[in-house]
Amino acid sequence: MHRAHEMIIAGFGGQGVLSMGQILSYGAMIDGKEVSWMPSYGPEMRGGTANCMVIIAESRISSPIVSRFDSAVVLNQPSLDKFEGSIKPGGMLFFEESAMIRPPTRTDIEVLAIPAQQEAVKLGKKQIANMVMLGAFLQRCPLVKPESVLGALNGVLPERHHHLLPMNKLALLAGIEFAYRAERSSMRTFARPSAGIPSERNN
Amino acid sequence: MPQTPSHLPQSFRLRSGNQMMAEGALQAGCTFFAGYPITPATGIFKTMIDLLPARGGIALSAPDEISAIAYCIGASMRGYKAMTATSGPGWALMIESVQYALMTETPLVVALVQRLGPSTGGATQGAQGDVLLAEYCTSGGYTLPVLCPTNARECYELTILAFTWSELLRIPVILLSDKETGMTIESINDTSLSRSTSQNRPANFAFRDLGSYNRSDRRGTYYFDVPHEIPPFAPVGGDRKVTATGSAHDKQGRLQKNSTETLDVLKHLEQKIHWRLDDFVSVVSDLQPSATTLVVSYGVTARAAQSAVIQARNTGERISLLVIHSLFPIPVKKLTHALQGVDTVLVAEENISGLYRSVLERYCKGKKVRGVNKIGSMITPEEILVALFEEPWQPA
Repeated sequence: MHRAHEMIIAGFGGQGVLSMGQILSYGAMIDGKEVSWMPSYGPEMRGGTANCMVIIAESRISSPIVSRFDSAVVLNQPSLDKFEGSIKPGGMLFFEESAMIRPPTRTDIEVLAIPAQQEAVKLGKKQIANMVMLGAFLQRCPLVKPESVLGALNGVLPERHHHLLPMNKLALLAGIEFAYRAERSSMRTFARPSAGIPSERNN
Repeated sequence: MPQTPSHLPQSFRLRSGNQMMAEGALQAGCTFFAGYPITPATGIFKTMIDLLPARGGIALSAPDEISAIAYCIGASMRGYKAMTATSGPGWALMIESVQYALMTETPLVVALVQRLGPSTGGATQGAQGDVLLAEYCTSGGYTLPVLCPTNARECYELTILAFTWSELLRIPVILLSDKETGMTIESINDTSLSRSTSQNRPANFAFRDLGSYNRSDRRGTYYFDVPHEIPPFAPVGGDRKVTATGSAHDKQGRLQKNSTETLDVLKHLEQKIHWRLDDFVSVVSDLQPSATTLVVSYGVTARAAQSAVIQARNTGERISLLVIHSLFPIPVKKLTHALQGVDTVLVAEENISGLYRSVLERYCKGKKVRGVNKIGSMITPEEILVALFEEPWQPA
């Protein structure tokens, strides 16, 4: 029986949605998996919505498009609205904590609010929020070895950005650490959809 | 784009369909590329500009699509193996020149990566709406080979095949990709890729090396004895006068109205392909004995179809699948074989009106032919399953 993990990563253009998917795919390839990364975005350079469907499998992948996901990583409200309903029961939803006005409502999936933006700002560069998110994702959903992701960064990041490699690694580790701590301490509470968002946000 | 890190076995890489198409072209021995960037075909353009000059070829960024294809035709007439890549709006501009290449028997490969039409349509939106525009772009309705890959690996392999046909038959060949096939990135195992190159066009040695052909011979650069014969190629600028006109011409390339010889040349343009119909065939037949339904698809939709068929079979259904790479000439024998014992044919394609279905219908007499059609986003396996059973699909 072949096993595949089918996921979507979605957000605004410029948030690093597509590159997050590419890095993950590349890392999975290093681990010897079959992968498919399918981008979808608008004609704008920045500001439009973008998403990519990533499939990581043990055997050859037939369709690169799927309509129901094992997990979803969403970085903006429109993506949450659009894809929350498409996650398989028992699946996982990771979302950027600071980006949501209307939090997710499903109770049959694991919901994780990640303050990726905030962690990235702490590191001094908000553009690496996607790597924080990826780190948190991999901690909860260990599809790919973190060292493979670091290897992938080398390959995916254009040479002119290679001076940013150390910072990206820090961001990845920050994400892993955040999810790890959350798991260890009050992750269960944190992971409950109803408790995921401070109540004042709902006002 | 991603480079293979040093600690990885060199055999695995992440590649998009567009990149693999460019690599297929290089493997096939492509020596000339000219293009004008257009989403979603830019990946081919960029990869060729990056890689081809380092291999001793010429890669040009043209000022527009008309120039791009004209550069390619000129280069091919000089003996280069030439390729260009575009999408729907660029193809619209290239159609005139493709016909010129057809008329002058100039080998050429055009990658047409489809996006949503009509007009400039949706630049970043996939579609399979140019199937008939690609095939029926000629005045006179000549057959142009159209090859359609479904994944990155096939982009590579069918590009080599496209060059082979283009060179052997001295015709333009269209590689009909789509946004999803071209831009989806997949893991590619290099060691499993074909290392064969494409064939070369029949050369002009005949004019010099064979006793019966000499320079005073009145047989021309488009000479053939039997209609399906491919005239030996003589390069423009070589030791023989070459006339290349888009107007009806005789076997020497001289403009003529409708002499018998001229009409023979016009018929030959079709007959040389027609005579080799069976050679062109590239399909994947996944047939089940006693299946009553046949799913036919191509391009990226074929992958959804494959997934749907696997899911349906897992619940005990018997369904056959035919994935067609060589859309044109239509693989009639393979199709007829797949149709045996079948009462329903389902054609899945990402366009409104069922373009390829309309072509297949004439071969499906007595069968119920239905389509799964959609624009705006890819057809999902579930949608094909719903169409198969004509009811909402519940996964097992």
